[in-house]
Amino acid sequence: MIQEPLSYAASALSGPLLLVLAAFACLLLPLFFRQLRGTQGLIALGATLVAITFYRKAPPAEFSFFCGALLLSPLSAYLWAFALAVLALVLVLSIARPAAPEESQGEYYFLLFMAATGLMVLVAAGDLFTAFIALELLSLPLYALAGIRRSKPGLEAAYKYFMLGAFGSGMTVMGIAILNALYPALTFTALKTGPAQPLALAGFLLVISGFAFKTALVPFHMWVPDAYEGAPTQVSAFMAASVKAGGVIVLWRLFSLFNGGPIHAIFWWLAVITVVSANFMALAQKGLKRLLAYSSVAHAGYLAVAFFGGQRGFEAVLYYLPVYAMATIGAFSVALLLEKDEKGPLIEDLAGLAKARPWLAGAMSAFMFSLAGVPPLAGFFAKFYAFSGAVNSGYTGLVVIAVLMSAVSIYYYLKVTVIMYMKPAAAERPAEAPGMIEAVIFLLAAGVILAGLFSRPLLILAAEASRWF
Amino acid sequence: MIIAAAVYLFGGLAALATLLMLFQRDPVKAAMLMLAALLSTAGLYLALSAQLLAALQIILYAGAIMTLFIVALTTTPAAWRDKPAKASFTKVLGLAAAAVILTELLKLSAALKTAAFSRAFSETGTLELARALFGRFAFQFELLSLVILASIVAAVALAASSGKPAVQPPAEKKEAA
Repeated sequence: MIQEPLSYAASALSGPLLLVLAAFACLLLPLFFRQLRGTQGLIALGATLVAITFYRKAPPAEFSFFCGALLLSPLSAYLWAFALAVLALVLVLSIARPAAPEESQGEYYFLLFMAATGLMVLVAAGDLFTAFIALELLSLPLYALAGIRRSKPGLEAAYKYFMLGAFGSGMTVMGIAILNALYPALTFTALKTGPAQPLALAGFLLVISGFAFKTALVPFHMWVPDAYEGAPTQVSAFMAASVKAGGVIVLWRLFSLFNGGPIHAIFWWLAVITVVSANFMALAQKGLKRLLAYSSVAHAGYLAVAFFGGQRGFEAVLYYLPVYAMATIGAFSVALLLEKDEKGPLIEDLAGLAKARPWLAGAMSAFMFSLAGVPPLAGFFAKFYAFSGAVNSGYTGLVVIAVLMSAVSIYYYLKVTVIMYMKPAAAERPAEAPGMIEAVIFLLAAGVILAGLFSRPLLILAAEASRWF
Repeated sequence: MIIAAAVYLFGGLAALATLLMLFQRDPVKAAMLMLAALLSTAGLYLALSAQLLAALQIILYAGAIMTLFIVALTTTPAAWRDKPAKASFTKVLGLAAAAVILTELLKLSAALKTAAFSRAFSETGTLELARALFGRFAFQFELLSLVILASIVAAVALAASSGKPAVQPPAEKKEAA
C-alpha cells in the first residue's frame, strides 16, 4: 500500500512518460540502427505491455498536481488502464496488418503513442486549459494517422477530420477565453463554485460544442462517417474507442458543473437529436465501416442519456466505455480482416461468412448484438445501467426515446448477422490460417460475452472509480 | 526626443514597406516587403520599450510565419502564375474597405490621445511571463511541446512522398505547360 501521494504519482506518471519514451524510440531508433527497421511495432507493443505490467492500483484518494492541472485518483487510474488496453489492442492489430506504408512505420507508432498520451492526460485533466491542450495532443496525431497511407480516401478523411476538428478546437478556445475572462481560475472545482453569469453561459456553450465535436454528438458528427471510412481500419478502431472516451469524460465534468438549467436542457436536446438521427442515418449505410461510424455516433447519444442519471449515470458511463470499446474494436477488427481496399468491406461482403468461417461469424454476431444491446451480452447491461440511472432521476421521456431508437438500431445490427448467416457467398472465400487479428477478435468476443454474463466485477471497478469524480 | 524619432522612423518604414507590398505583383518580392514591414513593427515595439513583444514579433511573425509563406509559395507553383485579378469591381470594393478601415484607425488614434496611460500594462514583462510559463503553467507548457512535436511529425509523415517527388519546381512546370 502506497501512502505517500508523491510516490504514487511517480509510479502512476511513469506510465505516460514510458509511452512518450517509447514513441521517441519508435521514431528515432530505426533511423540509427538499420536492423531495427520494421520492428517498431514490437518495440511499441513491448513498451505498452511494460506499462500495463507495472500498472498499480490507485490508493483511495485524489491527488492534485501541477496547480490542479492533473488529478490522480482511482478514476484516472481506471481510465488509464482503459487507454492502455485500447492502445495495446490497436498495436496488435497494427503489427498483424501494418496500417502505414513501410517508410512511415516509425511516425505511425509515434503518433499513436502521442494520441494515447493525450487521452491519458485528457481524462485526468483538472482544468479546462489542460483539457484543451490534451485534446489537441489526442486529435492532432489522429488527423495525420487518418491519412498516413497518403491514399485518396485517407487524405480526404484526414482533411475533413482536420478541418472540422480545427473548427471545434477554435470554438473550445473561444469558450475558454470567455470563461478565463470571467472566472479567476479554470479548474473544474473553481468553475463549479463560481457565480453564475450570463456571459459564462456563452463560454460554456462554446466549450461544450468543441468537446461535442470530438465525442461526435449530432449536429457535430459530420466528420465521423468520412473519417472512420477513409482512415486505416486500425486507426478507426482507436478513434472510436479513445476519442469518444476522452470527450465523454470532459463533457461529464462540464455537465456536472450545473444543476439543471439551460446547459442540461441543451444536453437533453443533444442526446435526443443524436440518438434519433444517428440511428436513422445508420439504416441506409452499405459499408461496414460507415455503419460502425454511425453506430459510434448513436452510442455517443446513449452516453449523453446516461449523464442524466447523476452519480449512478457516471458509474454507467464508466462501465459503458470499455464495453463499447470491446465491441467496436472487435467489429473493426473483423472489417480489417475482410477488407480488400481502403474503404473496408461492404456489409454485403460478409455474405456466407458463417459457412466459411463460423467462429468469426459468431464473434461478429456477438459484437453486433452487444452494440444493439441484446441480453445477456455486455452491451445490454451497459445500456440498462445507463438508462436506469436516467429513469431514476425522472428523465423517463428521454429514456423512452433512447430505448425506441435502440430498437431501431437492432434492425441494422441484425442485418449484418442475417447477411452472414442467411445469404450465400458471392465468391468462394480463400481459406486463411488464423493469425493475430483473429486472436484479438476472439479475445474481445470473449470479453463482450463474459462482461455480460458476469457484469459484477467490471461494474464494481466502475463504481469504485466513479466515486472519485 | 530620440524615442520619438525612432517611433517615427520605424512607423514610417513599416507604412512604406506595407504600401510597396500592396502594389507589388511578384509574390516573393511582396513577401520580402512584408518581412520588412514586420521587422520595422518590431523596431516600433522596441522603441516603445516592449522588448518581449519585439522579440516575439521577430520570432513568430518575421521568423516562423514568413518562412511558412515562402515555403507555401515554393510548393504551390500555381501561386507564381496567378497574378492579382484586374477586375475593376473588386478594386472599388477593396478601396472602399480600405477607406473604412482608415477612417476607423484615424478615429481610434484620436481617441487614444485622450486615453489614460495604464500602469499595469507596462509591468507585464518578460519576467512575469516566464514566471507563469515555468511556474503555474509548467505542465501545460511541457504538454504543448509534445503537441508541437506531434504536429511536426504528423506534417512530415503526411508530406513525405513515397519515392517520386510530389511537388515539381515552378520552372519545370512552366516548361511543361
